[in-house]
Amino acid sequence: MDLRPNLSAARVAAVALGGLMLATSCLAQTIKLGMVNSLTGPHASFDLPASEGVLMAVDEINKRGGVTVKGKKYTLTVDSEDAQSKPEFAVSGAQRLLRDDDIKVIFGIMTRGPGMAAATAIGKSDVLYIGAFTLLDTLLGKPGGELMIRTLNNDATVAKSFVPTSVTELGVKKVGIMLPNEDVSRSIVAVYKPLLEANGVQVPIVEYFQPDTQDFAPVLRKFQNQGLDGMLTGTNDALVEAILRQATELGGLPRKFMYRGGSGAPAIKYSKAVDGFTWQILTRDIDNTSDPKVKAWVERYKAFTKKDVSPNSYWALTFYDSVFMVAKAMEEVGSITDVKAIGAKVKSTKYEGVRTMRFDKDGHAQSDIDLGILKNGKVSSVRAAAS
Amino acid sequence: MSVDARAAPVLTMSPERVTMRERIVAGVPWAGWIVLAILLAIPALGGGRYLVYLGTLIALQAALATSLNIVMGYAGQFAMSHSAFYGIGAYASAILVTSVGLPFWGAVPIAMACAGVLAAVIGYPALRYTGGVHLALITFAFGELARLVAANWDMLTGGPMGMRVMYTPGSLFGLELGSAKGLYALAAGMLLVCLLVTEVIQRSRFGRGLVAVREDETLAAFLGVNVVGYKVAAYVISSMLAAMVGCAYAPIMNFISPDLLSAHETISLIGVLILGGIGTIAGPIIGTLLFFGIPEMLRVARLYRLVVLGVVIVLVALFMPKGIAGVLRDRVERWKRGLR
Amino acid sequence: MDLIQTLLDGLMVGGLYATVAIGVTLVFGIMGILNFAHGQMVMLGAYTAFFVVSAGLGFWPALLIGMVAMGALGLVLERVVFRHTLGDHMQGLTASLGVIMVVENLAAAAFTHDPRTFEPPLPGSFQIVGLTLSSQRMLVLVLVVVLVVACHLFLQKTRIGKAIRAMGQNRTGAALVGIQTTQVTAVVFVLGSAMAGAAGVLYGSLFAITPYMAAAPLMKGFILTVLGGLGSVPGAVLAGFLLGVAESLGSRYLSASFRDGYGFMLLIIALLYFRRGLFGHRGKVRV
Repeated sequence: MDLRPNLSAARVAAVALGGLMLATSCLAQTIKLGMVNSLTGPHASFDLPASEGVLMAVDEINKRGGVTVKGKKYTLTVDSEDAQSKPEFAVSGAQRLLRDDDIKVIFGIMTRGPGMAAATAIGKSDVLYIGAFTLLDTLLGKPGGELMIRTLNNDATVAKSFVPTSVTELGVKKVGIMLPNEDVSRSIVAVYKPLLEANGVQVPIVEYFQPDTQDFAPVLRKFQNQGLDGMLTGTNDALVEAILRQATELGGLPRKFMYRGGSGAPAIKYSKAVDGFTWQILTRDIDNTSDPKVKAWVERYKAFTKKDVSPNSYWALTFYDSVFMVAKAMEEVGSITDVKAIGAKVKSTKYEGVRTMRFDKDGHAQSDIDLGILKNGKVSSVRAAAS
Repeated sequence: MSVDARAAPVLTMSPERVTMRERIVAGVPWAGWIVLAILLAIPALGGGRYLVYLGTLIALQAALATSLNIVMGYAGQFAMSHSAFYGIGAYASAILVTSVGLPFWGAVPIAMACAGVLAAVIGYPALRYTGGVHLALITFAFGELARLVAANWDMLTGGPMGMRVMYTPGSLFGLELGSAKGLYALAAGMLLVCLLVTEVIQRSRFGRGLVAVREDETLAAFLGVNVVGYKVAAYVISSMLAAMVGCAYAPIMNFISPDLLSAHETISLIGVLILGGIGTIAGPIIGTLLFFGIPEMLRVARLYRLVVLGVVIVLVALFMPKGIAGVLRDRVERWKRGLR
Repeated sequence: MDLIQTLLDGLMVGGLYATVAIGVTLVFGIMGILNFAHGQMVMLGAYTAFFVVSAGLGFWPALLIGMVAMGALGLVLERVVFRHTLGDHMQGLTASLGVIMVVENLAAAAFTHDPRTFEPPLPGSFQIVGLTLSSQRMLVLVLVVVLVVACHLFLQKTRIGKAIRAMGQNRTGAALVGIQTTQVTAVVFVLGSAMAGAAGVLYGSLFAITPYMAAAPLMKGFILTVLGGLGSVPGAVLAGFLLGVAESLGSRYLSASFRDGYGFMLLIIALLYFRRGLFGHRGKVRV
């Protein structure tokens, strides 16, 4: 057998392949995006869907041809770090991303502990940070926060539509506020109490409980026998579910609830024991929607993640639209490295994605949200426009 | 016959009797210090941003482990409050700097003094009794109480979600400490201070007294050692050093959370210490490098790392109470004496 | 009215704490080991109940299975780990710390952090003499009392119970009169762990179950062990009810956000000034 012709054919093929790869690599370059999220740990229930949203958006952008800046085509890739729900790991994850000079945009983190730590680290560099934790609002517009954007509305914006709608739907007149003892809670009270009173509701009692409380009975007893017909509570599903359960067990407590933060899951479990429950869906209601855009997105989500939707899947819309916004901004600005211009462009754009995204000049979100309502055993939602 | 006369033949033994092996072994601590110097120099000289950050974290943890070693390794007492003092140092210095307006280097001694007083108040009644149970319980309770206070007193500490720290330490001896490398130098400096204190204690009468207390308290008392005083002193020194390292934590991490004070952190620390070898100088550093450095570079998920650490603690506690450094030291000793 | 409800709540919670404390104080009294890993049995007991109830078997089988499973786990731990540490109490403590890390993080990895709950057998509330009481809480109170009384009878009336008390008083003496110390040690561990498992099941019927829930019952267990006197079961029980009532009253009428703090303060004061506890007969040597 004479192998020599085969060998030379192989050589030619190898060179051709190498040349082709070289050529395509010149043609299709990559834009690296960074992402730091709590993929494990207690905060994963928020961050994991949010990270899926980013990956989904990147996948869709790449499938439709990537990003074209100044005639050059780019595909997007994502470097993902796990914050493990702890500030130290959020910082070290952010540091690893910052080490790579190609990464100019970082997405991620929806909870305060890891979020503040990572944001502080990222704020020291020239990188656009797009996050979602509540206290990010306090960093925007201040020195160090010029390159930061929060994609979820803050309490003041949300409450403006949430309070009137809830009061009307639930028909409450006298409400007690019960929140975990954190400073976010203090700002919640500062926003909601006046709004409730402005809508004709008395708020005779505000109580804070130890954040890792298991037994709510002593605190709940403070709300008994006061003629209350409703309660405002928060700030995450696990807490509110425990509160609802124990409230219904103890008896003598109001049966209408307003929930600041999280999903409707706690109420659905106790829908028979509860007369009314409203909650804020900071992205979109994906369970009971008639909006075709949302329905189509849900189908794409299920196909991409190969999972069914869960009560927390709506957090996947946290950053989804903003990825498209960043891609579009890069195209319009004509640069993939000019972070200031890209950031300014994103902040000044109104984007009609699955959510209607708008920001003010400092990066505070002013998008529209959905309000969830559970009444008479039926679940529905109402769209609240951005103010 | 006086003691001196009987000791005389030993003291006048001629130098040729010192074997080659003994010479080598005498050189081991020096080699250890040189290796440490090299390790410390790596981030300072060649590091990219991430390596410097990693080095800073490891240096902090090693300093913490070294300071715990004083009370756990040399005095043999279970101080479950070590992380609490770490956190107290961090919070105290942060509050002093941000609210009272003290410069960083003014806040550090005050934070350390607070920690020292607290440790004395907690430690003295507990250490009056033999056995480590009372101290373990009290320090455990104190640690959790401190964490609860930090989590609930949010006027002072920012509550359960922690406190943001934006200041950097001022310059010391002309060194600018605000940059990443400067903060690394701060952490490394604290590690060196802890090591120095340990070294001084080890060579001193105080140190020997501590070891006697660790081995047998009653006997030590009979030999004239002030058992309670020594134990309390070791506990106070350890806690003050922990607070000192905590003061560095604040500007390095930019963020303090009450979880820093939790007993879980102390338990991890104890595990690291036991793994590396309590009662030795190199032990805490070896343990820290193994536990933090390698997985950090390999990015092993934290949960499994802790499970492995737990298994290691159990195994080491049962079979190898002296830890890696202890075993190494024993081996070296035996080799020196010509045994196999 | 409100006061009675708060008191009843306090008794219930205190009873739960006491159930956990019994295991701690027995093990410490007999073996001199402060088993920090005791809390993990409570957590695992709660998860066992969750899985059993979710499998459709119901609450009562869950209680039984939980106690048996935890008892078995206690036996395994005693054989594999703690038996070897009898000579050195600090070694035992260290080993228990290692066990905590293993169990807790394996649980966190296996069960994830999502809190679990299961339907209690008696949901809702009922009215009696003008009081509205939570049905499940009252059931837990009754069960706790039953468990404690059963344990007490076991220790007083059975041969093994007497052997345990003998060992607690004087280990060497007990061996001299022919008590099989190794067997008795194993029984103590099994008993303590089963009690912790039961406490876990009861916890799970009222509150959310997470992998890190062990810390609170453990702390309370230690507090009671010391307050009641190291090694004294009646002491731990009495202290348990007292602590529960104190916490309940304190949270209801004072600040609710400092609830756990009351217990810790009590513990520190007790450790510093009342080292013998309420019924303790084991003081410690003053040097």
